Amino acid sequence: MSQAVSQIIEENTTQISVQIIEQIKDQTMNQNIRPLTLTIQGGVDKDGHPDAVSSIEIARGEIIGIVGPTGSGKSTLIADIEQFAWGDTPSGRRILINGLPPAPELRSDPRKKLVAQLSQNMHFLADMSVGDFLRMHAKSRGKDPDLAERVITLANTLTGEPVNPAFQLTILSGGQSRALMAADIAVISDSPIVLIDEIENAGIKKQEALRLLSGEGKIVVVVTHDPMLALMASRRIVMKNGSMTKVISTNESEQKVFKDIERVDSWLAALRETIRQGDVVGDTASGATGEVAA
Amino acid sequence: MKMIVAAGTPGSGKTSVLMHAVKDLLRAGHHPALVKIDCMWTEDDVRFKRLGVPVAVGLSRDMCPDHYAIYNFEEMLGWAKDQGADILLNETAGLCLRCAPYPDRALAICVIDVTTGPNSPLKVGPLLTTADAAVMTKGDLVSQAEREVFRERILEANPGCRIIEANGLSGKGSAELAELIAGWPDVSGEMVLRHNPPLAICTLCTGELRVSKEHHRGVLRHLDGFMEYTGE
Repeated sequence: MSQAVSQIIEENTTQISVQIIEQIKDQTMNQNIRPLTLTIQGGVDKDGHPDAVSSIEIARGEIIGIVGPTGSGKSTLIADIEQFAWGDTPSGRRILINGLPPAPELRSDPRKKLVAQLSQNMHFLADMSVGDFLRMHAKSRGKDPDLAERVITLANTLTGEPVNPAFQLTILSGGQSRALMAADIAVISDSPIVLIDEIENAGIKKQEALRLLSGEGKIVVVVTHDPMLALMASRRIVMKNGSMTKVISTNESEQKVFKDIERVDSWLAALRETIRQGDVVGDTASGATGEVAA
Repeated sequence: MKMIVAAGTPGSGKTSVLMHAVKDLLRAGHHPALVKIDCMWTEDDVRFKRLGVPVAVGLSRDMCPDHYAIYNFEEMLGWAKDQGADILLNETAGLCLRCAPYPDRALAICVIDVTTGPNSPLKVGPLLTTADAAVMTKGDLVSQAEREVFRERILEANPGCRIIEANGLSGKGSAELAELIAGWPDVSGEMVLRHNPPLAICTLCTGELRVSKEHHRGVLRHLDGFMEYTGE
């Protein structure tokens, strides 16, 4: 990620969530397993033709995008990484950690899992209270069940509709569910590799969520159609017909565009809030409009 | 001959998961044969036949499909042997969750659908608690956190079991399942069940249709748990 991008993210994150993120880092950072590189070795597309990108290595601290039209194989690629494919998925791809095939228990045992995933699912199906569910998830990951409270506090910085530990998971809105899933990943899963599938559909503060999930020294893979999120990635893999067709590295002129998008996005966010609060748009938005035009 | 008994509630994905595993077993040079047990009707045999493996169907009709499977295991093994198979896969109907048709030396697999929620591993009973492996299906429909909580619940119900996360659509997990099947020891000698079948000594078993206790004889359990025997 470029210096400019990190600075923009820095400026746009509210003080409260910065504090919470720092606290969480201190208390839950997984120091034991820190993979340095994630390598995707190419497989085949939907017609059995080999991936044009035969191999790509992703280093610690990098945000990498996956882009492409619907049905192009973005979610399949994410799934390959999630399960550490070893030629045993339909794509035939192989995933290496630090240049080596990962040990079998890393695939399944949540206590050893290197991968945290925010999938496209917008709702929980489990018939449990938020508090009970989070405590049990912490237990499954070998973490302190009291982290549940922290997850809820953090989730409430990402969504406008507060989540309460006594709520049943199944009644949560899409935004509340996604905020909770993101906060859960940051606090409880806290894995060195984070996979994010289309955060822009989430109804939460997407940029803040991405910053929260990326943490320090993590590898972040984000599937996205969103220009702002795509340009927050230093590189992006382009998918077509199930194949990794090319890798684009972002450049200076893209980063200039990013700054513009970023301003438009904060303006839109402000407008959204104005409308939500029942105010008239013209009164508050004129200053921001001038800024974007400039 | 290896013997695999796959159980799980209807719609949990038993057939889809087994089909992927059969493909992997065939690729590895094994000769699986499949017996599908159901109650009234099935077309799963047509799906399996497309894979080019020997398939037989047993319909239990008005009998409990698990009872029916249990006293027919020997016949199934004989049939599989005649087909030149080295692995007998038995897919059960999967119904009442009260018993588990697992012989002690067979590989017992419980297929369980993650979308049924984290309480379901506690409800499934001996089907899960006496299984060697639990195959979690439909995990793509829930978040990672939910999958992990579900997994924790399976381990609460059956601490020693091997858990395989599988997807009947994409084939995820089938390689791991096929490897487990291929490495299981052959069955031999007399086998016994891991869990007793349900108590079924009542007038309903002999065809009584009227409801309420006044029409029924045998060992009856009241809603409050009190058990009584009525009859001769």
